[in-house]
Amino acid sequence: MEKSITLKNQLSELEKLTDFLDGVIEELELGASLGMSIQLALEEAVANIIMYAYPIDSECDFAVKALSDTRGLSFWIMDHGMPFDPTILPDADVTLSAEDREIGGLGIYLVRQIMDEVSYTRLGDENQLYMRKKI
Amino acid sequence: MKAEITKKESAVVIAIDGRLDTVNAKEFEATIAHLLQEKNIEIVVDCEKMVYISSSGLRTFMLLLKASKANNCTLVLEKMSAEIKTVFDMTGFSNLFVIV
Repeated sequence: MEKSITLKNQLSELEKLTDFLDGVIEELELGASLGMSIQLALEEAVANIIMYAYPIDSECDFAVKALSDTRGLSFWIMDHGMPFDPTILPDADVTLSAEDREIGGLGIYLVRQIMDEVSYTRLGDENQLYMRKKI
Repeated sequence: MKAEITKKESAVVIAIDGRLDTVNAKEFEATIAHLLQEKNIEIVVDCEKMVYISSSGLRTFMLLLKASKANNCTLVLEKMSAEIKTVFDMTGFSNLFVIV
Protein backbone atom coordinates (compact mmCIF):
# COMPACT_ATOMS: atom_id res chain seq x y z
CA MET A 1 0.00 0.00 0.00
CA GLU A 2 1.19 3.46 -0.80
CA LYS A 3 -0.82 6.64 -0.28
CA SER A 4 -0.05 10.30 0.05
CA ILE A 5 -1.81 13.54 0.88
CA THR A 6 -0.97 17.22 0.61
CA LEU A 7 -1.91 19.46 3.52
CA LYS A 8 -1.84 23.21 4.16
CA ASN A 9 -0.23 24.75 7.24
CA GLN A 10 -3.55 25.24 9.09
CA LEU A 11 -4.66 23.31 12.15
CA SER A 12 -8.05 22.63 10.54
CA GLU A 13 -6.15 20.41 8.06
CA LEU A 14 -5.62 17.87 10.85
CA GLU A 15 -9.13 16.56 10.10
CA LYS A 16 -7.97 15.64 6.59
CA LEU A 17 -4.97 13.90 8.12
CA THR A 18 -7.30 11.89 10.40
CA ASP A 19 -9.42 10.79 7.42
CA PHE A 20 -6.32 9.92 5.41
CA LEU A 21 -4.96 7.80 8.26
CA ASP A 22 -8.35 6.15 8.84
CA GLY A 23 -8.08 4.96 5.22
CA VAL A 24 -4.58 3.56 5.81
CA ILE A 25 -5.59 1.90 9.10
CA GLU A 26 -8.71 0.35 7.58
CA GLU A 27 -6.90 -0.94 4.50
CA LEU A 28 -4.22 -2.61 6.61
CA GLU A 29 -6.78 -3.81 9.20
CA LEU A 30 -4.67 -2.52 12.06
CA GLY A 31 -7.30 -2.51 14.82
CA ALA A 32 -8.39 0.21 17.24
CA SER A 33 -5.42 0.31 19.59
CA LEU A 34 -2.64 0.40 17.00
CA GLY A 35 -4.76 2.69 14.86
CA MET A 36 -5.06 5.22 17.66
CA SER A 37 -1.31 5.14 18.33
CA ILE A 38 -0.61 5.86 14.68
CA GLN A 39 -3.20 8.65 14.57
CA LEU A 40 -1.59 10.16 17.67
CA ALA A 41 2.02 10.03 16.45
CA LEU A 42 1.14 11.52 13.08
CA GLU A 43 -1.08 14.24 14.57
CA GLU A 44 1.76 15.29 16.87
CA ALA A 45 4.37 15.36 14.11
CA VAL A 46 2.11 17.19 11.66
CA ALA A 47 0.73 19.66 14.25
CA ASN A 48 4.31 20.57 15.09
CA ILE A 49 4.99 21.47 11.47
CA ILE A 50 1.74 23.43 11.12
CA MET A 51 2.40 25.42 14.30
CA TYR A 52 6.14 26.02 14.11
CA ALA A 53 7.68 25.38 10.68
CA TYR A 54 6.43 28.43 8.84
CA PRO A 55 6.33 32.19 9.40
CA ILE A 56 2.98 33.36 10.81
CA ASP A 57 0.40 34.20 8.10
CA SER A 58 2.27 32.37 5.34
CA GLU A 59 0.36 29.74 3.39
CA CYS A 60 2.32 26.62 2.48
CA ASP A 61 1.69 23.04 1.42
CA PHE A 62 3.46 19.98 2.70
CA ALA A 63 3.13 16.27 1.97
CA VAL A 64 2.57 13.13 4.02
CA LYS A 65 3.28 9.74 2.47
CA ALA A 66 2.42 6.31 3.86
CA LEU A 67 3.95 3.06 2.66
CA SER A 68 3.52 -0.47 3.98
CA ASP A 69 6.03 -3.17 3.18
CA THR A 70 7.85 -5.99 4.95
CA ARG A 71 9.49 -3.52 7.35
CA GLY A 72 6.15 -2.27 8.62
CA LEU A 73 4.23 0.93 8.08
CA SER A 74 6.42 3.90 7.13
CA PHE A 75 5.54 7.59 6.96
CA TRP A 76 7.39 10.49 5.44
CA ILE A 77 6.47 14.09 6.16
CA MET A 78 8.09 16.50 3.72
CA ASP A 79 7.88 20.24 4.27
CA HIS A 80 9.74 23.31 3.08
CA GLY A 81 9.63 25.12 6.40
CA MET A 82 12.49 26.13 8.65
CA PRO A 83 15.09 23.41 9.32
CA PHE A 84 13.94 21.53 12.39
CA ASP A 85 15.19 18.19 13.66
CA PRO A 86 12.79 16.84 16.31
CA THR A 87 14.99 13.79 16.84
CA ILE A 88 17.63 15.78 18.71
CA LEU A 89 15.24 17.20 21.35
CA PRO A 90 15.88 15.80 24.82
CA ASP A 91 13.21 13.39 26.05
CA ALA A 92 10.58 14.74 28.42
CA ASP A 93 11.24 13.47 31.96
CA VAL A 94 8.05 11.55 32.63
CA THR A 95 9.14 10.51 36.12
CA LEU A 96 8.86 13.98 37.66
CA SER A 97 6.11 14.94 40.13
CA ALA A 98 3.15 17.04 39.01
CA GLU A 99 4.68 20.11 40.66
CA ASP A 100 7.94 19.76 38.72
CA ARG A 101 6.56 18.78 35.36
CA GLU A 102 6.21 21.13 32.43
CA ILE A 103 2.63 21.70 31.29
CA GLY A 104 3.34 20.74 27.70
CA GLY A 105 6.14 19.42 25.51
CA LEU A 106 4.91 15.85 25.12
CA GLY A 107 4.19 15.84 21.38
CA ILE A 108 7.52 14.69 20.03
CA TYR A 109 8.01 12.46 23.06
CA LEU A 110 4.82 10.60 22.09
CA VAL A 111 6.04 10.25 18.49
CA ARG A 112 9.23 8.61 19.72
CA GLN A 113 7.39 6.38 22.19
CA ILE A 114 4.96 5.10 19.57
CA MET A 115 7.21 4.70 16.56
CA ASP A 116 9.96 2.07 16.24
CA GLU A 117 12.12 4.37 14.15
CA VAL A 118 12.19 8.15 13.76
CA SER A 119 14.77 9.93 11.66
CA TYR A 120 15.25 13.35 10.14
CA THR A 121 16.99 14.53 6.99
CA ARG A 122 17.38 18.00 5.55
CA LEU A 123 17.54 17.71 1.76
CA GLY A 124 18.19 21.08 0.14
CA ASP A 125 15.35 23.27 1.43
CA GLU A 126 13.22 20.31 2.51
CA ASN A 127 12.69 18.74 5.92
CA GLN A 128 12.07 15.01 5.74
CA LEU A 129 10.79 13.31 8.85
CA TYR A 130 10.69 9.53 8.55
CA MET A 131 8.76 7.36 10.98
CA ARG A 132 8.26 3.62 10.96
CA LYS A 133 6.03 1.35 13.00
CA LYS A 134 6.19 -2.42 12.96
CA ILE A 135 2.76 -3.85 12.23
CA MET B 1 -15.55 17.10 21.19
CA LYS B 2 -18.17 18.20 23.69
CA ALA B 3 -17.45 18.94 27.33
CA GLU B 4 -20.30 19.23 29.80
CA ILE B 5 -19.93 20.43 33.36
CA THR B 6 -22.52 19.34 35.92
CA LYS B 7 -22.84 19.23 39.70
CA LYS B 8 -23.35 15.82 41.19
CA GLU B 9 -23.73 15.69 44.96
CA SER B 10 -20.54 17.26 46.32
CA ALA B 11 -18.55 17.00 43.09
CA VAL B 12 -18.22 18.97 39.89
CA VAL B 13 -18.24 16.52 36.99
CA ILE B 14 -16.60 17.29 33.64
CA ALA B 15 -17.84 14.84 31.00
CA ILE B 16 -15.77 14.71 27.83
CA ASP B 17 -17.39 13.34 24.69
CA GLY B 18 -15.34 12.70 21.54
CA ARG B 19 -11.76 13.53 20.52
CA LEU B 20 -9.64 15.88 22.61
CA ASP B 21 -7.05 16.91 20.04
CA THR B 22 -4.83 19.75 18.85
CA VAL B 23 -7.76 21.45 17.13
CA ASN B 24 -10.14 21.64 20.10
CA ALA B 25 -7.92 21.51 23.21
CA LYS B 26 -8.00 25.32 23.57
CA GLU B 27 -11.79 25.27 23.48
CA PHE B 28 -11.78 22.62 26.22
CA GLU B 29 -9.36 24.73 28.23
CA ALA B 30 -11.73 27.71 27.97
CA THR B 31 -14.67 25.53 29.06
CA ILE B 32 -12.96 24.45 32.27
CA ALA B 33 -11.06 27.71 32.93
CA HIS B 34 -13.36 28.83 35.76
CA LEU B 35 -12.78 25.54 37.60
CA LEU B 36 -9.05 26.30 37.75
CA GLN B 37 -9.87 29.15 40.16
CA GLU B 38 -12.10 27.13 42.50
CA LYS B 39 -10.80 26.16 45.92
CA ASN B 40 -11.52 23.09 48.09
CA ILE B 41 -13.81 21.37 45.64
CA GLU B 42 -14.04 17.83 44.33
CA ILE B 43 -13.56 17.48 40.57
CA VAL B 44 -14.40 14.32 38.64
CA VAL B 45 -13.54 13.95 34.96
CA ASP B 46 -15.81 11.42 33.28
CA CYS B 47 -13.70 9.98 30.44
CA GLU B 48 -16.17 7.30 29.33
CA LYS B 49 -16.93 8.96 25.99
CA MET B 50 -13.49 10.40 25.35
CA VAL B 51 -12.20 8.42 22.38
CA TYR B 52 -8.84 10.09 21.72
CA ILE B 53 -6.35 12.41 23.36
CA SER B 54 -3.28 14.20 21.95
CA SER B 55 -0.50 16.09 23.73
CA SER B 56 -2.60 19.28 23.62
CA GLY B 57 -5.32 17.48 25.56
CA LEU B 58 -2.76 16.12 28.02
CA ARG B 59 -1.55 19.68 28.50
CA THR B 60 -5.03 20.72 29.63
CA PHE B 61 -5.19 17.77 32.04
CA MET B 62 -1.84 18.88 33.48
CA LEU B 63 -3.16 22.44 33.94
CA LEU B 64 -6.16 21.04 35.77
CA LEU B 65 -3.96 18.84 37.98
CA LYS B 66 -1.60 21.67 38.91
CA ALA B 67 -4.52 24.00 39.68
CA SER B 68 -6.30 21.37 41.78
CA LYS B 69 -3.16 20.75 43.84
CA ALA B 70 -2.56 24.47 44.32
CA ASN B 71 -6.20 25.06 45.28
CA ASN B 72 -6.58 22.09 47.61
CA CYS B 73 -9.11 20.37 45.35
CA THR B 74 -9.42 16.64 44.77
CA LEU B 75 -9.26 15.44 41.17
CA VAL B 76 -10.39 12.01 40.00
CA LEU B 77 -10.49 10.65 36.45
CA GLU B 78 -13.03 7.91 35.89
CA LYS B 79 -14.18 5.43 33.23
CA MET B 80 -11.12 5.83 31.01
CA SER B 81 -10.84 3.48 28.01
CA ALA B 82 -7.83 1.16 27.64
CA GLU B 83 -6.60 3.18 24.63
CA ILE B 84 -6.60 6.48 26.51
CA LYS B 85 -5.04 4.78 29.54
CA THR B 86 -2.15 3.67 27.28
CA VAL B 87 -1.42 7.31 26.44
CA PHE B 88 -1.54 8.21 30.16
CA ASP B 89 0.87 5.31 30.86
CA MET B 90 3.28 6.33 28.07
CA THR B 91 3.59 9.85 29.40
CA GLY B 92 3.81 8.99 33.09
CA PHE B 93 0.45 10.69 33.69
CA SER B 94 -0.93 7.48 35.23
CA ASN B 95 1.42 8.05 38.19
CA LEU B 96 0.28 11.64 38.70
CA PHE B 97 -3.51 11.33 38.44
CA VAL B 98 -6.01 9.38 40.49
CA ILE B 99 -7.62 7.13 37.89
CA VAL B 100 -10.52 4.92 38.97
